[in-house]
This record gives sequence, structure tokens and C-alpha cells, in this order.
Amino acid sequence: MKDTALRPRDLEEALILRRETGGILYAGGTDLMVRSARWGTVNADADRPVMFIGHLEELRQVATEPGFLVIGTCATLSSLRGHPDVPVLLKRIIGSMASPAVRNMATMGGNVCNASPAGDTIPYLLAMNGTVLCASTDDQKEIPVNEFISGPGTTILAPDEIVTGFRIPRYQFDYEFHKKVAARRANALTKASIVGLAQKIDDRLVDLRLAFGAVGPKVVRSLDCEQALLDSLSGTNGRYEREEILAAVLRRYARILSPIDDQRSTADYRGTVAIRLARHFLKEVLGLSYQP
Amino acid sequence: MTIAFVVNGRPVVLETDPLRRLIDVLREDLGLTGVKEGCGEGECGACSVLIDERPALACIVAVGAVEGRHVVTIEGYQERDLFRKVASAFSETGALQCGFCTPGMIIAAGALIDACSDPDEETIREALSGNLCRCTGYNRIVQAVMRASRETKEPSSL
Ligand SMILES: Cc1cc2nc3c(=O)[nH]c(=O)nc-3n(C[C@H](O)[C@H](O)[C@H](O)COP(=O)(O)OP(=O)(O)OC[C@H]3O[C@@H](n4cnc5c(N)ncnc54)[C@H](O)[C@@H]3O)c2cc1C
Ligand code: FES
Ligand code: FES
Repeated sequence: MKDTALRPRDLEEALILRRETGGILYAGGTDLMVRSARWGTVNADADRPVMFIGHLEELRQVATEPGFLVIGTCATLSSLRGHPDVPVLLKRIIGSMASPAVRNMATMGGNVCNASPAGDTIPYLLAMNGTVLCASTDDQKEIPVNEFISGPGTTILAPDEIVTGFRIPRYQFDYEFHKKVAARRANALTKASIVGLAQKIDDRLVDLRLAFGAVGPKVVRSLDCEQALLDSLSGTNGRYEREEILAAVLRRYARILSPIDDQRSTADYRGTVAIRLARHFLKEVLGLSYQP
Repeated sequence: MTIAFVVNGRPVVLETDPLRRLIDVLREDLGLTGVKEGCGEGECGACSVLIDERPALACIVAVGAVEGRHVVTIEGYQERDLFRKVASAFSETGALQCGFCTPGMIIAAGALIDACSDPDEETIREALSGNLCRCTGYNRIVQAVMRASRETKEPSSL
């Protein structure tokens, strides 16, 4: 029988095998196996072997560096949720994903490399300015997540490379927001999601970031919209002025969000929901929420 | 490819395609038919097993990925004290009708009780959120898990 899979002993061997075979990487398998159940194969390109990497200890670690958290690509979602160094916001996002049993198998690397616009850890990485760490036998790269993901289901990972982990600035924002809209509580694919972060100094907004999931071919973040909002605030705007500024920035976002129209939800619905989520967060940041 | 792992405490060595689904190997090669197939896509929990003591879904695991690991199916789980407590709580509470979801429910419930001695309703619903039941409407299952967790607590609190 032909060996249809490889099982490297360590990362070094995995990198060599990846260079030699271009093997399809199997981490937790929760995306690959569903794909294989639907299409009868884990990949359209059946000539490449599958390579198991989920067991490689080097890829399962969570480490802190000065100012950064480094998450190993094969750390399972459950292990991250239970890890003392993982930020609360990421834990909350993980808690909204799949079900406990799926989270025991699924990895963060698989979620990002799957490159679905509905991949729930991607808006987090994007908002946090997280990077993707890639390795080959003779090189190591660090790539911003929005460059790494090139389109729906596609990345710029080279055929001889393996993602080894994610480097995330360790930074606590004054406002940290996550909301995911889905049809039911567990195992429901995201219809629209948002991660919002904001920082103030002396009541003045100095940093604002919004990342939207499931509303376009890729997860969306607009530095232009963020900067425009910061620029239009002087720090002394009255309530009416802030309402106007909010409306203007939401109109800008509405223009760039282009949801995919599929059976899960109509494009209009997704776009509308995403804007509503943004409004909710920005109202709070701009001090426009109703306070009883 | 030769795959060696442990099933219900016994070492197993198989010569098989490593990309076969664990559920097929358990049911077809090892005769462990307590592992049920509902959706085949990770959404219903009927195929729940323990892999290294954590609930996992045998329909979306390739057998090659469990090399060297410990798999426990409901057949092996039956040997445990905890199983007996959970199973009797299920039958006394009327938490099963057709029984198709029950092996998976018991595995998920047992893992919860192992991790958390006094789960509240919300915690139980979260722990069972990946296990679908077409028959019972879940309330009795939640009651059964509460009952079982109370019963497991009692001996140690003496
Ligand atoms: C029932 C169910 C519910 C789900 N719910 C959610 C949800 O709520 N939110 C969500 O975002 N996702 C969800 N998913 C999707 C999936 O579970 C996640 O995307 C998961 O994180 C994938 O991780 P994995 O390790 O299982 O990936 P795998 O299936 O192992 O891999 C996924 C892809 O990434 C590639 N890959 C993996 N590791 C690497 C690496 N180190 N380097 C390069 N490429 C790599 C693989 O080759 C493959 O193309 C769900 C899946 C199921 C079955
Ligand atoms: S059969 Fe495996 S989760 Fe439904
Ligand atoms: S008892 Fe029939 S599916 Fe749960």
C-alpha cells in the first residue's frame, strides 16, 4: 500500500519533508476532514501526501517575549483558552467558536491558514497587528496577517514553508470588543463578526481599530477609516458633533464592506449587521451610549 | 502505513490508510459500534470519543493523527465509576429516548464532571453545546448531568 501520509518526528524533519514533497499539512484536521468528507479528498491535488504536524511539541507552545506573545501554530483552541498568558479577548473569541470537542482538536494555525473570511481568530490577529511566523529549511519570515492571507481560502505561504506560529503585541486596550453573530450558539459559522479596540489618553482617542469577519472575501480592516475618525475628533467635540462624526465614519465603512451573498445570509443582511456592530462599539468609545 | 495507538486501554497496531476516519476504523475494524455517526461533519457529537482524556469527534479525525495516543470509546468508558453514575442519572431522569446521542452525551458530560465538580446549568449547556439530540429537548439531559455531578461529589465530601 502506498503511504498516503507522513509523520515527521520533529519540526526539522517536517521542514525537510515539506520541501521534498510539498505535503498538505494536517494540524487538527477539523477543516481538512470536513473538506474531505464533502469532496472525497483532503485536497484537489491528490498527488501530494498529507503530513501530520499536530503532534509536534515545538509547534504547540505558548511563549512570552518582551512585549509579545508567541502562539505556536499547533496550540489547540482549548489549550489557548486555558492558558494563563493568553489575553482575555482571544479567550472570549475562542469561546465563541465551534464546540468544546472541536476546540480540543482545532488549532489556531489551522484557523488562520484555512484563510476563511469567517475564520474567527483572524479579525483578532488583524486588529492586534499580529504577524504570521513562517519557516522553511533555510529561511524564517514574519508576515503581517493581512498580507499572509491573499484571498478567500488562499495564503502566500510558499510550498516549502510551514507556519510555525503567531507573534502578537502584548497590549491591553481601554476598550476591547468582540461580537459574533451566528444562527445558534455552537457550531454555527459566523454571519458577521467584529473585533474593536480603542485607546484613549486624557479622554482623547489615540488609537482605534476595527476588524470585520465574514463580510467580504477577506477579513476587513481599514486604516483609512480608522485614521479619518481619529483626525475628525478634536477631543472637545460636543455630543451632536460626535454623532455626526460617527455617522460619517459608518458611511465610509458601509462603502468598503462587501459581504459575500451565500445561503447563510444575504449580503445586505451581513453588511447591515456589521455596521450595526461597529456603531455599537463606536458609540461606547465616543461616549454616545445611553447611560442610565 | 502502520499505526499504533491504544483503544480502551489495549494497544492496537493496524496496517491501514492513515487518512481513514477514526470512526470507520473503530466501527469497522475494531467492532466498537457504540461510536455513532450522525452528521459526519463534526456538528452533532454522536461520534464523541476521548483522545488523551479529552472529548474529540471521531468523524473528523484521521486515524494517522492518533498514532501513540489513547482513545476511549463508550465501550471502554463503561468500565468507569463515573460512567455508571452518569448513565444511571440519565435513565432515572429520562434523559434519553432513542439513545442515539447518548454515548456522545455521556462522554461530554463525564468530561465536564471530571473538570468541574459542581457545574451550573449554563456550564452544562456550554459543555454539551456540540452534542445534538433530536428527541429530548435537552432539559432532562441537563438535569441528569446535575444529578450525576451531585452524586460524584457526595463520597468525597464525607
Ligand atoms: C463543527 C465545526 C464548527 C466550526 N466552527 C468554527 C467557528 O465557529 N469559527 C471558526 O473560525 N472556525 C470554525 N470551524 C473551522 C475549524 O474548526 C477551524 O478553522 C480550526 O481552527 C482549524 O484548525 P485545524 O487545526 O483543525 O485545521 P486543519 O484542518 O488541520 O488545517 C486547515 C488548513 O490549514 C492548513 N494548515 C494547518 N496548519 C498549518 C501550518 N502550520 N502551516 C501551513 N498551513 C497549515 C492546512 O493544510 C489546511 O489547509 C469549525 C469546524 C467544524 C468542523
Ligand atoms: S458524526 Fe461526528 S460530529 Fe456528527
Ligand atoms: S435521545 Fe434520541 S437523539 Fe437524543
